[in-house]
Amino acid sequence: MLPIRQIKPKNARTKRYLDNKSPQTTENPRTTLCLRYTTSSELLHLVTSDLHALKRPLAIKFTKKNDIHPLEDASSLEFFSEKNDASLMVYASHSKKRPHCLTLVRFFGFKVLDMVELGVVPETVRTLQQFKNKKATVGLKPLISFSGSAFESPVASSYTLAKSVLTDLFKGPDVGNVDVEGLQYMIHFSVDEEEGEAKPVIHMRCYLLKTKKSGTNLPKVEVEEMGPRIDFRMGRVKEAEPEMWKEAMRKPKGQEAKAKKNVDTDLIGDKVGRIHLGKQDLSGLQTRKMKGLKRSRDVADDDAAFAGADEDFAGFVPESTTPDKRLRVEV
Amino acid sequence: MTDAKPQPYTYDLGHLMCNDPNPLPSLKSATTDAEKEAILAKTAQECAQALINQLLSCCPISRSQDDGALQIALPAPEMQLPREKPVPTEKQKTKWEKFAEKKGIKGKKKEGKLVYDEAKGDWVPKYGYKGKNTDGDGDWLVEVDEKADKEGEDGEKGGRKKAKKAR
Repeated sequence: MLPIRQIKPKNARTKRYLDNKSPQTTENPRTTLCLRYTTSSELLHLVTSDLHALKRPLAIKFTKKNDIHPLEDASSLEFFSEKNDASLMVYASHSKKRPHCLTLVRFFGFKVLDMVELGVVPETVRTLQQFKNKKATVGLKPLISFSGSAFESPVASSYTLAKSVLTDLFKGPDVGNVDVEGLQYMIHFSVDEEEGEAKPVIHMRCYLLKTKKSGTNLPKVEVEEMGPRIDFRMGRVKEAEPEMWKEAMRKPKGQEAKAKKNVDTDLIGDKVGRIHLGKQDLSGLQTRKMKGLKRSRDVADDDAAFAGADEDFAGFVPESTTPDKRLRVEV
Repeated sequence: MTDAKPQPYTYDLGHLMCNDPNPLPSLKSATTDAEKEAILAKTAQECAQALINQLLSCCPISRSQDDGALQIALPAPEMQLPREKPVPTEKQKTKWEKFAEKKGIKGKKKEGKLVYDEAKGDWVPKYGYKGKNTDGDGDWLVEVDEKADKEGEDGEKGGRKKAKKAR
């Protein structure tokens, strides 16, 4: 596979495209690429179309067949990721050994980070079209919930990895605030308890949320199934290399919110601030004049006044000479 | 609502996420598909209810100024997910930037085209249509400036002198 040519931007548009694609402090939401293997079943086509529909507009769907085995050689997938600026991939393949297999791939810096292989259980699949009701608006952020102890296990397992990948896949863009109207649907993942040898199945259900008035302030929530109904069987898993994972989890400088110092809120709710001044020089302080407190009012100072008079007297004698000097100069 | 859950739910409101660590009720007991779906729907409904309750009670709600819609301010997500691309490297300062920093040279701010005219008491363009530099063009009376006149004559002479030299 030829490496991608380094494009040198020749106009503002291409420069903007490259800047968008380059690493940034606050990242763009992940774009998902849906593609298929040389053999992939009709069922999987329906499933990938549904996933693509859920993820719009951040999803791209390829229709051509590709001869790729993700868990063995991922270089072509990396090429696709770089060309399309897609950091998530849903790869559909169908073989006798692994029927109806969906591989979810996550990328970091256009290189494969980790992969989860999930097999779709064909009997229980229901598509979006099979539910005859109105769907949620395109592009909304869904509510996500995980049920079952396997997802919460303290030991890193294929299920905890699957939880991380599924969250990344469905969470949508990170926003600061959400419209109350925009909380329309919920994606619910549940995993059965481990019973015997078989690995438990992950159930994915999407529900529309309807709120009804209840006696209290908080509304009563009702769920109505709308979305694709898919049951996944856990397959192989490729975990991330520790250094790559560490790089991927790094937080850039300045991202952590700085706690505002010296600002508090009162009991009443007023915002109170503390200003720190330096040490003040009190010698130049202008105070009220109180004549009675002046130091020169004491007796000791009267003597000084006499001494001052003597000096005045003496001062007369030399003054007589200076006028002459002055006259001489003028002439 | 009597919620007797053995393990409490945990929430990650930044991701609008709810984690229910309780084991799922066994689906083997459900014989038909419909029953199975009913169990799952019930679990989901409980999660949804808890999550909406948490959202509406814990996050500050405000009315947006643009269209009057109610908005909920979400906190930062707790569950850290891996980045898409590596953290951007610090850009190296160019030779000029280093020099300018050392010398203390700061960039020129754009002044804009308008200049305040004291006489008119208003902002007029520096040049162009009704520009300040064309103010004197429309005067019906122009004083003769002796110095300027003399220079004009020399200039002509100078021109002829130059032409002669060229030959």
